[in-house]
Amino acid sequence: MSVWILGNNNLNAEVERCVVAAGMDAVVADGVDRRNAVIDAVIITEPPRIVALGEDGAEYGLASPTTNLMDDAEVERVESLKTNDKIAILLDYGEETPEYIAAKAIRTAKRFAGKKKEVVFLSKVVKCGYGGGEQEYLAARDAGVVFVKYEEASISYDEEADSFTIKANDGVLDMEIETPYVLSAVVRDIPELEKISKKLRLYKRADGRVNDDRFFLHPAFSTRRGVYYLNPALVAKGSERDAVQRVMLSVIADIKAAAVPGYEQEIVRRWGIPEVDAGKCAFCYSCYRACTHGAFEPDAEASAMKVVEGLCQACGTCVAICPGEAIARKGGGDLAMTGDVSKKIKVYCCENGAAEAFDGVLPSLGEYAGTIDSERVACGGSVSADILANDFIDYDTIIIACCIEDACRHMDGDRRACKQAERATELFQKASIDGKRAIVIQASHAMENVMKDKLLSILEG
Amino acid sequence: MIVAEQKPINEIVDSLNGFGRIVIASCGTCVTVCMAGGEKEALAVRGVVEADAKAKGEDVSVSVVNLKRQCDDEFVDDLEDELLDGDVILSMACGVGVQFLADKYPGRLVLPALNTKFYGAAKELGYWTELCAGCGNCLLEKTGGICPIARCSKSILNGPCGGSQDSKCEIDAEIDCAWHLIYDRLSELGQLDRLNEIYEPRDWRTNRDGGPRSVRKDDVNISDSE
Repeated sequence: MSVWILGNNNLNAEVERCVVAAGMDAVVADGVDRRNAVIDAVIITEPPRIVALGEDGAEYGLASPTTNLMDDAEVERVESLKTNDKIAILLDYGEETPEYIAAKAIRTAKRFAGKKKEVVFLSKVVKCGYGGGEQEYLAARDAGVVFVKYEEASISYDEEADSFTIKANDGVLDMEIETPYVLSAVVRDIPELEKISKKLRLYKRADGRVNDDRFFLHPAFSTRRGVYYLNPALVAKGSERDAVQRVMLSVIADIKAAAVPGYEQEIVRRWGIPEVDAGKCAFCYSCYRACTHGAFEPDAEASAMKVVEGLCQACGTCVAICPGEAIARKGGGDLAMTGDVSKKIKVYCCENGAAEAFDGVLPSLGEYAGTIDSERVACGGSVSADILANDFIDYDTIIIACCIEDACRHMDGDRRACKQAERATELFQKASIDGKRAIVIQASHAMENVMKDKLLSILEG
Repeated sequence: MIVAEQKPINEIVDSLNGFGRIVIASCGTCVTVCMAGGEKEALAVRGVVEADAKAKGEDVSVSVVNLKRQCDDEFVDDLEDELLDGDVILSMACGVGVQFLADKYPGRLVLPALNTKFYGAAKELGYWTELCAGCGNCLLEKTGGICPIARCSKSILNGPCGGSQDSKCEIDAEIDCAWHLIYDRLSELGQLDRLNEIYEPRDWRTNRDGGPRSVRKDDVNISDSE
């Protein structure tokens, strides 16, 4: 088995050692050719670029950059200064600060406070949910660090006084700090990582992550089977070597497990791998762009797309999005446009959670239960507007029961379901065909109460 | 490619009022790629039209015929029987396809389901922008590969105009100023001197202003029609 290690990181040697120790071939490469991307596994080690506020200009418009919190030499320089000025640590992230930055910030704050420095720690969200984080946070507080959770903040720099002014508001109170010492860290686009993730077609949202452990329950597993991302967050805990070894244990176990035929393909067997009809394929790349698992590749010979079976998770998004209806599931596992039309309501249930909640609730719906025709789907995102429109010939109400926001294991299924329901409903409203509505219920398997309340409110009109 | 979008569904449904046997003809080329008139969209329209008929208690049959291309005889001929098996054809093609069918079948009413918009490309999945205006006299070699005719709101040749601000067009802050883009690109290429040329008023006869246009490639088209 051959594992590629991509990116420049001082951890590469350790990663390579782990791969070789597991009996696999390690190739340390500086790039990846998309045509050769389907290899046993790729481990990305490229670290993100971290700058201080103001270092790259425009966004904060500061005439002088603050001190880079992630630069040890810089932090030590500030630490060694004898000063009575307050030292501000500012983590200006819209949402949660990346874990490895928050961890470093809390530790630094505690260290400074231990040297009798006055430290004010400003952030929108104080994240300390990582292993041992809460103790570190409490220890920092005990050491005298003042934590300020703000809603809005601004920072400016006075060149003459060589001093920053931070203004913050927590929704009730305003505060202002003037200090020459502001420590900050901002993650910026990393061209190398961008390039790698684009070539490997990793799913990304606007904030540029190449992986997201919400979906795969392991922080090193990316959105594509066989591609792993050694997140710097992992090495923020304990010694680097230990941390790499710990993470690599899971990564190697996953690479080996994936090599066993049939591994994790139960879902694929159940739903059927989609197949492209080359005669109908317009070669428009819509499936290629929409597939969050990176499971489509161009087949230049056939002038059509083809499915990479080992990557496909059978979610059906491609079937729903193909404008030429060129993609169907092998074995005909596609959605029926109508089911038992004597029923009043049709419910499409995403099998990843909502279906369980629905099945649990159905017996308690009494006489209503008999009026519902339900169909399991691999993902809410597999229900398209044309399916809904044709269902509306017979049904008045169609419900798509899918995952709660951001919980979709196929990444965008819930968002696609909402949009398709909206579009189908709007089509019928505009055509003045009354009484047709497509409604989305977002619920996890444990949310039977939510499912029941919403179903009843729909059923009772 | 040609980019189109579906007409408001109420217009489509209204236009089909009174017809009992409707044939919806999708087109498998540009309008499939821009998700306006491919088979999927044809199926969605069929759903609405059938549901409308059912709600009104009318007996209407709707069939979908999928043509690979609506602007070439051979593709249309292959499916002629299905295509003519109704009272009316709702064409999901661009304006070219609609007229091609209408010309080919003078005795059959062909209705458009789309509004044909422009020549463009997908910037990302589900988002298309205009890039070419088909003016008939390409000047992209002078403007760093950015077309002022298609991408400047005023199609001016010696831009930018006084209305652009912060690289955006005064028509809409979402639209990039084409001349700003041209300047940036040429500056990056080290070819700003190309902008020293002052463009004379343009001969627009190659554009639509010269009337309907045609192209004949004589080495291929060897008919004796002349």
